[in-house]
Amino acid sequence: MVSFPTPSKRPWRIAPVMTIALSAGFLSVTGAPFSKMVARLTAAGVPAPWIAPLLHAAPIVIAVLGYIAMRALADGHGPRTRAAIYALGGGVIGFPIAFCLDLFVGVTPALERLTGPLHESGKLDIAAWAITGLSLFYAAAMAAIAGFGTPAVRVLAAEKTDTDCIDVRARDRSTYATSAVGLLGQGAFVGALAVAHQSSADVTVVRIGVALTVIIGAGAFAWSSWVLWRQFDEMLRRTVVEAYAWSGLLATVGCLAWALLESLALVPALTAYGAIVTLVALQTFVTLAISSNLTMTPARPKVRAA
Amino acid sequence: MKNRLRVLRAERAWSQADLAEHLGVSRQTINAIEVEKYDPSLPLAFKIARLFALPIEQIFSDDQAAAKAVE
Repeated sequence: MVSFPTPSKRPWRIAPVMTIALSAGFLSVTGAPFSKMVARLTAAGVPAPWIAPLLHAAPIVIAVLGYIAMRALADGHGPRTRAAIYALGGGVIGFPIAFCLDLFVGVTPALERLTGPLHESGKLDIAAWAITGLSLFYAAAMAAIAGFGTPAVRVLAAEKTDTDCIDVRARDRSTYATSAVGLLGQGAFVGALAVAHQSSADVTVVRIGVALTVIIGAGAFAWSSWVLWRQFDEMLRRTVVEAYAWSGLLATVGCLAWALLESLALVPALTAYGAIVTLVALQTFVTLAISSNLTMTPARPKVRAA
Repeated sequence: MKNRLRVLRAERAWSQADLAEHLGVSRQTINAIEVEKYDPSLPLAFKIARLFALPIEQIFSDDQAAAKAVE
C-alpha cells in the first residue's frame, strides 16, 4: 500500500493568523493616529481615552479578518488566482489601515538625523520606498528560514502546506541565507538612491554614505545572484532566465511607449533613477509571478476528460 | 508530460527532499515535476530512470500516449 505524505489536516492553523496579527501589531506600533481620524471619532461620540487604543488595534483586527476572508476566497483556486486574490486583498486591507494610522512615522525623522532634511516623497520615491520595504520584509523572512528552518516556514506560510514542501534541509538553509543577503542589498541600494533623490543637504559625508551604501548594497545583490545561480538546478535557472526575459521584454515595450510619449511632450524625460527603480520593481514582480508556480500547497491530481 | 514520480517515491517512503538529494536537484524541482508543472531535461529524466532502475517510459509518458492508451 502506497501512502502519500498528507497535507495538514487542520486547514485553519493558528500560526499564520498569529504571524499576521504580530506583523499588523508591528505596523501599528510604528504609526501615529491621523488627526482627521481622531476628530471624526470624537465627533462620532467615541470617548477620548479610547480613540488611540482603538486606532492602534484596528490594523490588527482588519489584517486578521482580511486574511481569513482571503483564505476563504482563495481556497480551491490555482496558484495564480490565489496570488491575485492575496495581492488584491492586501491592497483592500491596506486602504483602511492607512486611514487609521500614519505608518512608519518615526522613520523619516530618524533618517533625517543621518542625512539632513529630505524633500517630500514623489511618486517615484514612494515606489522606491515600497521596493525597499518589500525587499527588507522578504530578507527578514528568508533570514528567519535560514536561521530556524522548517518551524519558520510553518509560521510564515500563509496557506496550508504539503508536509513535504516545508522540509528545509541544511543545504537549503544556506540558499535562504544567500537570498536574504541579496534582498538586504537590494533594499539598501534602492533605499539609498531614494535618500539621494530626496536629500537637499549638500554635505560630502552624506553623499559618500549614500554612494557607499549603493555600492555595497549592489555588490551584495550581485554576489548573491551569482552564488544562487551556481547553486540553482536546471528548473530554478530556467525560472531566473524566464523572469529576466519577460522583464527585458516588458522594459523594452515600456521604454518604447515612454519614448513616444516623451517625444509628444506628454511625460517628463526618463532619468537613470527612474529607470533603475522601474527595472527593479519589474524584475521583482515578474520573478514573484513566475515563481508562484513553485507552489507549496498540496498537489492536486489534474482531472482530464476521457 | 505525465509521470509516476510521486508513486515511485512513496513506494520507497522518500520525501521530496530525500529524492532531491538523491538526484542533486532542489526540492522545488521535484515538486514541480510531480505536479506536472515542469518537464525535466533528458539528462535529469535519465538520472531519475537510473535511480528507480526503470526505463524512462515507465516513469514518464506524454499526453498523446496517455490519450491513446485510454482509447
